[in-house]
Amino acid sequence: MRNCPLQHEDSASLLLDHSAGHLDADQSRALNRHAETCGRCRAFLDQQDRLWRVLDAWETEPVSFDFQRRFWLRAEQASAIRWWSGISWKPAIPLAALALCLAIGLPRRPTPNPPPPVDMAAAEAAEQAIEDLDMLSQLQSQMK
Amino acid sequence: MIRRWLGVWVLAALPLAAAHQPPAEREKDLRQLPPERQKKAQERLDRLQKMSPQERQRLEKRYEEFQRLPPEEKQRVRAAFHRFEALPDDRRPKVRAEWQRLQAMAPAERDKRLASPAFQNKFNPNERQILRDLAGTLH
Repeated sequence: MRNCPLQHEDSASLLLDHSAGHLDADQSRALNRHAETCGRCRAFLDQQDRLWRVLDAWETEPVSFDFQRRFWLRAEQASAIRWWSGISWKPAIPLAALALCLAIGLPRRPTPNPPPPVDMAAAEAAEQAIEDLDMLSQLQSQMK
Repeated sequence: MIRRWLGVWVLAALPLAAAHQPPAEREKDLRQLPPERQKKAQERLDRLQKMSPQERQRLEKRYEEFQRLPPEEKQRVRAAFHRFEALPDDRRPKVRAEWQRLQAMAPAERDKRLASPAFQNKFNPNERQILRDLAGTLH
């Protein structure tokens, strides 16, 4: 991967697709290799990973067996005592229920996170310095 | 926060400053990183702190040399080191011994060795690349 995906709007979606597991093995490998050396991409992927783990762990409440029956009963009772009882709202109710399910039940496509704060860039630079020192000390001990 | 990081930024001029930071201060700094990376960085710092004064002095010199390399050269050395670490247990000592041998050679002699059939036959392409990438670093 020659360019950082976060610097190109077109290819930034690559990171999102990677997090959602939509990339093929070659693309994933290339992106992982790039992320090993790119702090911003790695931070982005870590954040996405955490987000997806939360979404994976989240479960909707199961709907009780007689929920639909009680729902329609209530709807009919309510419609019988109101002035608009002559109007049939039945066709709209499944649509409203579907819209509600879509609104709360489906995980949305992740939106790109804002760039990491300046402190994070400094943290990554220091992390790299520590890693380099450790690498050099290990190489030094191999030379004995 | 930036002020706390100054201790680590000084690393460029005084390479082992981070290793000398008080543990509590260091932990605060590292908390900016994701937990897994925090843990790794902390382990590395702990290892560095256990070095003897003589080892630290040598390391400072090597770090200064390393810092002078162009970015792509640094990246090449890092990648070669990671590939070296990933070698099978039975191959690592052989590659290490060859690397030590190459380090002791003058540049012209080293180039001759790297091009020799003996070298080509003894190591596979990955090992040869590791040795080429590491040769000439850390005198």
